[in-house]
Amino acid sequence: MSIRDFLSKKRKAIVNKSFEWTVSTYPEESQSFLKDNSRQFTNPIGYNLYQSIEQIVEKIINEEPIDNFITPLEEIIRIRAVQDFTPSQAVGFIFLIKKAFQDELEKEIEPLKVLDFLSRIDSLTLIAFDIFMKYREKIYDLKSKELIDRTWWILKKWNIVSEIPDKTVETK
Amino acid sequence: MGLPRPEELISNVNLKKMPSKPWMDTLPVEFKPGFYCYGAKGKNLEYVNFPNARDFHVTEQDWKLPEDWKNIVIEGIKQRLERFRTFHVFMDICVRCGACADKCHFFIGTGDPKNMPVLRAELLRSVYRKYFTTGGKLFGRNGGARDLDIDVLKELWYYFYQCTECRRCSLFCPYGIDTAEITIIGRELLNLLGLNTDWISGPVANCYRTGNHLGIEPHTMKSTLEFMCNDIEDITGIRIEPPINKKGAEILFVTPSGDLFADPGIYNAMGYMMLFHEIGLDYTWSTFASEGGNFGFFTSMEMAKRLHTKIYEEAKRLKVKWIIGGECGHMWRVWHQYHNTWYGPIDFLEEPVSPITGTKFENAKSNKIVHISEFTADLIKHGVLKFDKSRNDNLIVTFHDSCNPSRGMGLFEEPRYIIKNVCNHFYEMPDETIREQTFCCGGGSGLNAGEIMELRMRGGFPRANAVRYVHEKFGVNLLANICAIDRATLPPLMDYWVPGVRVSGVTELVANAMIMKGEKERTMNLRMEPLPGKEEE
Amino acid sequence: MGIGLAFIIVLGLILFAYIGTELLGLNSLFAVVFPYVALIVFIVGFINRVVKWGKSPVPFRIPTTAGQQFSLPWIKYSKIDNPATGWGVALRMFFEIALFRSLFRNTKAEIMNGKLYVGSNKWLWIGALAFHYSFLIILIRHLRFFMAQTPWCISVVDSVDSFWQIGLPMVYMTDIIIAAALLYLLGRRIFNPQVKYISLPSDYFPLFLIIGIIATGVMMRYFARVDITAIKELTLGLAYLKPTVPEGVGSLFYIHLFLVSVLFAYFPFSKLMHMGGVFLSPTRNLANNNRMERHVNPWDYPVKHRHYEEYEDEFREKMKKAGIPVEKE
Repeated sequence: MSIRDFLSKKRKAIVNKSFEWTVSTYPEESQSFLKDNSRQFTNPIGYNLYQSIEQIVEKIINEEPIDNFITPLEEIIRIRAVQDFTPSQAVGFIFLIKKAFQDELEKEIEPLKVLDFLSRIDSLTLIAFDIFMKYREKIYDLKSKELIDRTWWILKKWNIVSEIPDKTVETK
Repeated sequence: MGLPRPEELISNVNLKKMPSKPWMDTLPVEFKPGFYCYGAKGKNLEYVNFPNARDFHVTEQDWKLPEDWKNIVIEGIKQRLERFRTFHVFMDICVRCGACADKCHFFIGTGDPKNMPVLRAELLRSVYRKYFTTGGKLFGRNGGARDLDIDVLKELWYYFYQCTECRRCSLFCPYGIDTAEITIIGRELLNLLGLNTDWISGPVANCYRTGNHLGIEPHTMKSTLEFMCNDIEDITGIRIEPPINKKGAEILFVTPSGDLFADPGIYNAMGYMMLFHEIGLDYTWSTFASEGGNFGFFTSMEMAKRLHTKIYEEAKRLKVKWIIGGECGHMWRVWHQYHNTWYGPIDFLEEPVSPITGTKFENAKSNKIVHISEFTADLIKHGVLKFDKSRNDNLIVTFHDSCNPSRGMGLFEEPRYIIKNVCNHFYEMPDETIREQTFCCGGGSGLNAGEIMELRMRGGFPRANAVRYVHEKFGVNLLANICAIDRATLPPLMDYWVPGVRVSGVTELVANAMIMKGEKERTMNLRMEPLPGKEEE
Repeated sequence: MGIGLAFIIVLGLILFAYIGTELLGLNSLFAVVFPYVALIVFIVGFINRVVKWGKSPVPFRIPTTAGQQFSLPWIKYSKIDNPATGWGVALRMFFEIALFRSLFRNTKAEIMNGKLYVGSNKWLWIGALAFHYSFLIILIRHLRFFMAQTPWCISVVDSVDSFWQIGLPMVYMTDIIIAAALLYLLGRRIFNPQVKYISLPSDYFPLFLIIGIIATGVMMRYFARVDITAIKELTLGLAYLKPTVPEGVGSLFYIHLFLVSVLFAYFPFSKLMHMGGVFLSPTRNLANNNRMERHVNPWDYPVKHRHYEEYEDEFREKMKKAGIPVEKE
């Protein structure tokens, strides 16, 4: 049996395992809350986590190009970038997804093929790191932008700073 | 190999579950950047005579507390038990049913169990039991009691400055236990030791001195309003002269000072002036009562009262008949639920009657303060204002109910009625995230400081998530609200979670759509951006 | 935290009553002294606690508003969820106390992916309601032990409760419901990590205590043979203040009675006082009419605040320069 055929049968198990393990990186007392992944609005983290992991697993199984992974990865990492995680913890959930795949594949598929398949998942970690940095930078960006929003208008009005009038900019 | 597997490295807890530590054993709290506000500056505490004024640095081991700090706190608890039935009852009757646990936006966003409202309260309750109940004294830890020591104090500080006093939990509690009330009293206790934050104590000191949080001096306030009027003239061709400290005006208008300085609040302030001009209202600004908000409320009841008094004093001095309050959240919690008690009886003012429509504002007959949304909704209902709704056609609007006007007042229909009358495209967010069940912006009660951006992003996530839903489903691109803190905190929240959604006050939308007598053909909105259909080719 | 401790204490209480009556024969202690003492502690303690709460004033009117406020005449307002009048408050309190309105808020149904999904917390509302009402009915049923003539209303409750005749003696519905509700409430504290994390020994203790009371009661009614006539003689004696200790009352009954005594004596010092406290909760029992009627704070005191004169003194020159009117030129 090909890996793909095998995996498409195991999809649900892999999603659930990945989700459960990712949730287990949160404090134990909140895990049961996060595991409830059906309340889109009153438990957005559990919900989004599950939806995104499901998509990622799906895309791995369908061997989709790497660009397709960015949206679901962003979904998860954007949340983890502002939570109580170190950078490695924030992106490391990829390894938990990998482990979930490994657990299933080991049962039926020969080791060399498994190794080759799994090594592809590693590249997601690199993308994940880029996304993580993007959102961390965003945080600092927001801090400075907030300061500008709070003061810029008044600085302009008092002629402490001035801008090039809009009209002249349009000649590009 | 000596290296750990990745999954072992990243997990806070082992994948095979370890027994968790009881919450009382998880001390001391670790202060990490992005999770706590900076400590108060000594000069700000001193200016308003707060005890133990000194520069307070949160991460320093030594918090420079007075020798008998423990007694001060315990005496403080005793005094408050005798003064507040809320506090006394709430300390005793919680059954820890857990109904509140998953209602807090900070718990939902962080997963930190001490952000469950019940546990936040238990942090203080455990101290109460130890010193005030027989069970706690006899059974100690088994009675749910613990000693007050420096680590416990630090924990109280950490978590009472991670509560935005939004009262969502109190809605779901079968006994109405209100964590906001417990946080308010918890912060009062901390303030007995000078344990305040820079972001709160700075505005408090400013507000005492200049009348507003930002420290705008009278002449600056005048120029700022005039700058706005210049912009209004550019947009509408109408020149407005803002009345300032005008004696004998009929109405005193007070709004949060955020509307005088920061984007996008300024557009709301322009909106107020345009509206009042259009209906020919005889009103005045006051440079002293130049702040409706009250950061004193985030330190102690006494400080709140000290800051608020100027509003009625100014109303008296300027001999106005009644007062209109602008769009603000905690300002309205204080004005609606506390003002009358603090300053009343307000017999030197008259029962509010709209000079335009003749409507008597029955619900404000005792404290003589009317919300701008109530006032505007009444104008619209009577057909006083004319609108060109198409000016707002580029906006697909949803409305964020601010916590305080929602759960401390019940102001739901008025702003919606206004928005529907001035905008063609309005969509509600899901039911469990609006009205009395609304989610906090993540920055209320003085937690809109820049240094806790991470905390704000997490706390605001449930709100942002609901906005994203209507953004994706209906193309919503504007989040309207009636709170100055919202106008300050929601823009970064949207930038992070739902880029493409902007934030505005309700009155900005009103003024943009309002057809003014004698105006020129408008091509720009209040933000000086082209109106729909008026974009240059 | 402390589930074992709570369990052991309840077990100890049972053992204590067993040894006391079966081995030491201290029947009158358990039949007369403990019940009376417990009742006195309950009454005095309960009143004392409520008076203590009552002594703390309500300085501010701070209801949690759960619906549209009373404002303009053409806007429909929520008379119950955001009451502006005393009647509205009375209704709000009725729904709160009789139907656990706030807990019910948890049960909002959501539609997800086309499927109706009901929040898990609905169970808490049902569980709580089932427990409290069963307890109330059982309490009412027991009144017939304390009256020589069973009043008709109690007989009605009795016959409704045993409406479904299953076997003999008739099975009370409430016995089954309360057992299920108690197991659910206990199960939550054991299996829901969040609730487990916040639970104290004082949360488990009353649960085990009430489970013990129900268990002994059920055993007496359905399984063990107890001398009902003797028991009624004893309880009537207690009620009419002519205590007797009849022969033939087994230790099972004494255990039951002792656990009830402990529950009564423990009540005023515990979280069970939520029964009294819910009436006094200022976020629920006040009308939201702060702007219409002034609420007076009995301990209000004058505070130091900044006066306009001081403000003008500091900024007068700047104000004059900017053309802002001043009081003193």
